[in-house]
Amino acid sequence: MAKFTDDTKRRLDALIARYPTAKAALLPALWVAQEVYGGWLPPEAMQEVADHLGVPASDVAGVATFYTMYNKRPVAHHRIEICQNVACMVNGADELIGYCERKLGIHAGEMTADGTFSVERVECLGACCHAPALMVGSTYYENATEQTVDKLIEELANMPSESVNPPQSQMPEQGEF
Amino acid sequence: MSTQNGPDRPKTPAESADVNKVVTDTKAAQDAGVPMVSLVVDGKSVSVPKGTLVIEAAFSAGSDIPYFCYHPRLTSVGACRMCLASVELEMFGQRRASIMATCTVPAADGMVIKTTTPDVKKAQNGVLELILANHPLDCPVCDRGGECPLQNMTISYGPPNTRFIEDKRRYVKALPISDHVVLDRERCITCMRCTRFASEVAGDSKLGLINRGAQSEVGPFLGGTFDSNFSGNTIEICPVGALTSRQFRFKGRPWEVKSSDSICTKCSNGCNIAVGHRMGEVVRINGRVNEDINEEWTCDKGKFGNADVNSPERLTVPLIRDAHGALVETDWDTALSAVVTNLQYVAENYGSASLAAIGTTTGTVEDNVLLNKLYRGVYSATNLAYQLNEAPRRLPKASIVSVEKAQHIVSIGMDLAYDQPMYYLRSVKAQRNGAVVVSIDSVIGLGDVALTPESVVLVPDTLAAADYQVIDSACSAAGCGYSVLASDANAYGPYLAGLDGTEAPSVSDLSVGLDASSKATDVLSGLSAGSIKHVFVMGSDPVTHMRDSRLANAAFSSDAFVVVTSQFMNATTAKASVVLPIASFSETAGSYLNVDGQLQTVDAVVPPKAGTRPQWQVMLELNARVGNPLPVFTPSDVLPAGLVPGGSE
Amino acid sequence: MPVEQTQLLYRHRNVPGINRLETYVAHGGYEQFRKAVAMDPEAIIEEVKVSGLRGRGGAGFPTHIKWNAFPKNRDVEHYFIINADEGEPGTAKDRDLMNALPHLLVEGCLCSMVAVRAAKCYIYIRGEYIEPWKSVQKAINDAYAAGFLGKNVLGSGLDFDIYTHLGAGAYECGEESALMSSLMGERGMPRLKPPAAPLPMISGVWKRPSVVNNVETAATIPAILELGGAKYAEIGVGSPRSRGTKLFSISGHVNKPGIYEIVLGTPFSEVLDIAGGVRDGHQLKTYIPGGSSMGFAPPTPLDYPFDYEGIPQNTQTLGLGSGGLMIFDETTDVFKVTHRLVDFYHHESCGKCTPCREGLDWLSKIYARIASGGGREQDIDLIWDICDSIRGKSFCALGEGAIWPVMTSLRLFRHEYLSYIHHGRNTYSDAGQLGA
Ligand SMILES: Cc1cc2nc3c(=O)[nH]c(=O)nc-3n(C[C@H](O)[C@H](O)[C@H](O)COP(=O)(O)O)c2cc1C
Ligand code: SF4
Ligand code: FES
Repeated sequence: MAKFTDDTKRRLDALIARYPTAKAALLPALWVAQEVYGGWLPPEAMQEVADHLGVPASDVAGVATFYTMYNKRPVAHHRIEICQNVACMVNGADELIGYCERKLGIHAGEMTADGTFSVERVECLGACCHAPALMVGSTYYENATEQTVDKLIEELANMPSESVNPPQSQMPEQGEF
Repeated sequence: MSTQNGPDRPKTPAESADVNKVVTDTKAAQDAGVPMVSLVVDGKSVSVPKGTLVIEAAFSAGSDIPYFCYHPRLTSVGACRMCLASVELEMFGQRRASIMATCTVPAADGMVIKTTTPDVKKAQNGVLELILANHPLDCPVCDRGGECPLQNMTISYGPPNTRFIEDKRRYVKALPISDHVVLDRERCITCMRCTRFASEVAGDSKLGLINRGAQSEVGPFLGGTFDSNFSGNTIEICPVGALTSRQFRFKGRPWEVKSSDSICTKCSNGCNIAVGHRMGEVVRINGRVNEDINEEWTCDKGKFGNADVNSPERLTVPLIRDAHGALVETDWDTALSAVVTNLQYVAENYGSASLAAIGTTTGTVEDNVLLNKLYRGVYSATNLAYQLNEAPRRLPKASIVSVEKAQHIVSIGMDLAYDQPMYYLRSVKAQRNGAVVVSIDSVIGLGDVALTPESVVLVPDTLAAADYQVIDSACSAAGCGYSVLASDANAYGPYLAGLDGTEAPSVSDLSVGLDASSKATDVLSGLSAGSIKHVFVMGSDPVTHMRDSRLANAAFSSDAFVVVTSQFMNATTAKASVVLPIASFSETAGSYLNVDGQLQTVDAVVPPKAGTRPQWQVMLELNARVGNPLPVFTPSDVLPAGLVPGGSE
Repeated sequence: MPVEQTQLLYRHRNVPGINRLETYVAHGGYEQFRKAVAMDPEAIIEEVKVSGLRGRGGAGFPTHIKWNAFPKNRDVEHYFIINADEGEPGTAKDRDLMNALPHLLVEGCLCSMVAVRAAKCYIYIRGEYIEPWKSVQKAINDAYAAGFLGKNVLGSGLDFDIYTHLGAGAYECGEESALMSSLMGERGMPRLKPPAAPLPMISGVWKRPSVVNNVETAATIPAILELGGAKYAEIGVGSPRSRGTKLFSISGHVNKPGIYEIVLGTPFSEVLDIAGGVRDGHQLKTYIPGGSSMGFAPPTPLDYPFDYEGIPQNTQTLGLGSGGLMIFDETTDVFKVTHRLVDFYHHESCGKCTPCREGLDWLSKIYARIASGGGREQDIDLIWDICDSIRGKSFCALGEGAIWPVMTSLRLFRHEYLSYIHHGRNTYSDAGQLGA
């Protein structure tokens, strides 16, 4: 079932206009598709992108599966992504991840049964000087502690994901060209 | 000594083809006046055309460099890192030697290449150890075993033992990804040959890489199938056993399979193929190099479709219509006697105008020559048709090779990839070089195409006569002309055999163009009117294939005596008085004129299937039985003098 | 005597509202662009040459050499591309710069675009950096509104457009040729480089002349134009080939981790002091000077010029890299840190070439086995050999960067490996990661 509306297509066309080739708009287009398809990219989403951009579907799949931020599976409402890389690790990231796991009763990489939360190990977030760091949606939480996590989980539990998780595709408007 | 490397190491046929291609390309570039560069490879000075890669220069110098991802017909990616050698060159004002992937570096003046130093050996060894780390090493059960570049390189260049004790990557084995191809991801070494083939050569990108890093795998679009008409080629260029043929699976070990040169007859392109056979049975079709036709590719129709030679549906016993009107099995002698008896009876009682024959556009020129000798030669029959369709009879202006240089290609009423696979592959090449390729369903769309004198217009031979007029006027207005592409393997064979009465027919007549009337229609009218009492249909199925199939159906339902030669039952054999089961392309020798006028002669590859006979032998026998014994021992004995087969390379 | 830390990029870092156009302009913002747009492109490149500026993205390649390789005409579109993919573990400076000083980046891009005769610029921002992305895009929008971007900018007759382009999670896209692939909508795989292919400045994205520069590199250009190349080149107290200031993200076991602008050549001990020194009560065990790919340095010497030349000469690491200085005290389990890095590179390998794809896969499995008590002494040689098969043989520098921490940790901390192999744990860091 195609999900792209005329509005989606207009957004894609605006993206295409930024580049010399339609193919170059593939990454931003996949962000849009991920938003339209509720946070992940089923094959139909890739097919729609392929059709709109005029790029072979296998190329779209190749790109979508290359980048870790395109989800190939449905995801939790709120994804707690904790940096596990070195600067965070030597500042207690593993302990923090363990804390989240116990608190939510899931392992890193899983989501809670109701689909509200997941805990994920991610690579260096570029927040090394404020380690450990975690990210929910587009927001960074730096120098994170168990208290940070407690507060976050409490606040997020009843919040729709969009309010904390503005989709990456919501490109701020480009000025006049 | 277990390891044997260097230029004399054993090579798989594919590897030898690669080296040969490099040698021919080098020569061609040299002849074309491409400037040369000089370098030293393993102490030997060589000059190679500018643009040659170091690995190719090494081949030209007689050195050997192991490789996997490099392929002379694909763009270089430098992915496998197997082709390491020491390259000394000047960069940023400094001269220094370093180990480089030679498949990516163009040869340049003054380079010094070393392929055998201990450092190079160590580096190659190290890369091979890594390639093998996750490889399942299941050669004993792998279809590729015995002709596998990886296996070969390992014997020649590899580490003697493995230090990898970890768990290997695991995937579901033998995953069918199309009707023809099975994928074994555990064996894949991610060389990207197959995916580059799909995007660069086949132009359909039906196979791609997904995931990344150690999880990278090749596959069709998620959940889809590898439905390309060229999928089979990936089986041949995969340097391991990751892509194998479902058809050939477990049909035999590569070393038990004999290979004989032949020509594919599934369409008119005449691709050069190597027929693999084991104990008299055709087991697989591989591509064979012919730069003017198929380079080294085949289409799936040819590669897998030719398996019909083994079909249990093949006719193996002559059939004759009995007193109750049923077709029943008989023996050859009875069947041939019946033909001869009727032929003589009709000739004596009704005259030669009552005899007709339709030549074969799928069989050989020689088959047609012998048909002509019988009907025109012995009985002076003139109702001899040589073409079922109404297309203008003229070789195409645009040859297969020429299409890759075109700027604007318009195909009308064809699925080029299926109908004219080699024209299609050249059009993909043209497109990669910037050409615009347009495909329209019928002449109705022609109005929307801006033709120029440079346009190459490709048209099938199956349109209605009126359509050709439309195309003709559109093209002459634009000054570009158009090319009618025949669909059968030997569309002009009957003409070259003199079936229409031409004294010394030649290929050059075909470049000029022939009378366009369809004699086959005359035969139909004669049959319907009752004036034709005997017709010999050689290897074709007019009831199915003529434009006016209603008319054809009615014509063949008349009382005339109908002789049909065929490999399978079809709509015309169903109406026959006698059906003669004939040998397949792989079981008979002879010559074919391909779509753009290249004459190729082949030998039989395997003996005719039991019960069948090659068509030319059937015709020889009939000639003999009517008192016209011919001194013919092979088909080439009857090839018209004017025809000099270019043959296959 | 401590070197005074001249602040060029971060001069106004803490001015409230400096991320807004008015405030930025009030502090002299876009003046250098006004100057640049009136200059001959060659003159800008000359200033950059004299300044001695070297790329701040990791490789430290002199910026003017890249810029000079551009065709000197505008027959075809030229592209200026900003590398804001910042994925190298330990590196966090570009994020801070884009969050705090987006107009500095925009102005830097504009000056650079004049120099390389580009009318179009793409800023390739890693997918996680939504906030920096919004910050930069807002600055771009405001710059359009203020007439610094758009058609016939400042009456110069020149057009300038800057676009942001969001990545989607792939460290390899920081590698400049992979970044170009990604920008063109492909898998983030590296492309052939000279001598196998023409320079990007001749044929880069969409086969047009292109250059990739780091965020900080571009953001430094206004300072160079303001001071003049010669004056800029006077800054720096170490090697004559390491000029100016550089942003360092200092993380790990220090009292005041943070991002600091430091004069190149400042002695390492002072750099450490600037970040408050090693965490109280602990001693320096090892450090990574410039992002994880550079490898581990021994705790001595401490007094050497911290710059492009000083670091490799004194530490046997690859060098300054992207300025991600990570400090580790005695509680650090170096084997474990290395294991973590191996897994990181394994996860990020694009999979194009055998050495990196298979070598890192193998290494990752070996490290996991050693960590879980299954180590063998011969594993040490095996690890070394695998590194050797990657070194200089991988398609791009990711493979090289991946093995450097492995090889340096083996060289300096072999005993920690052996401890795992013999005792199943690291007896040298038993205090644990968090320490007292
Ligand atoms: C694996 C890898 C990752 C890299 N990541 C980055 C990065 O995130 N940001 C960056 O500026 N340069 C990165 N680089 C360096 C770039 O390839 C390139 O040298 C740099 O962007 C050039 O800009 P500069 O000359 O201004 O430093 C990376 C290099 C490699 C090999
Ligand atoms: S399937 Fe074969 S040809 Fe394709 S990438 Fe794997 S090894 Fe190469
Ligand atoms: S053959 Fe050269 S890298 Fe694969």
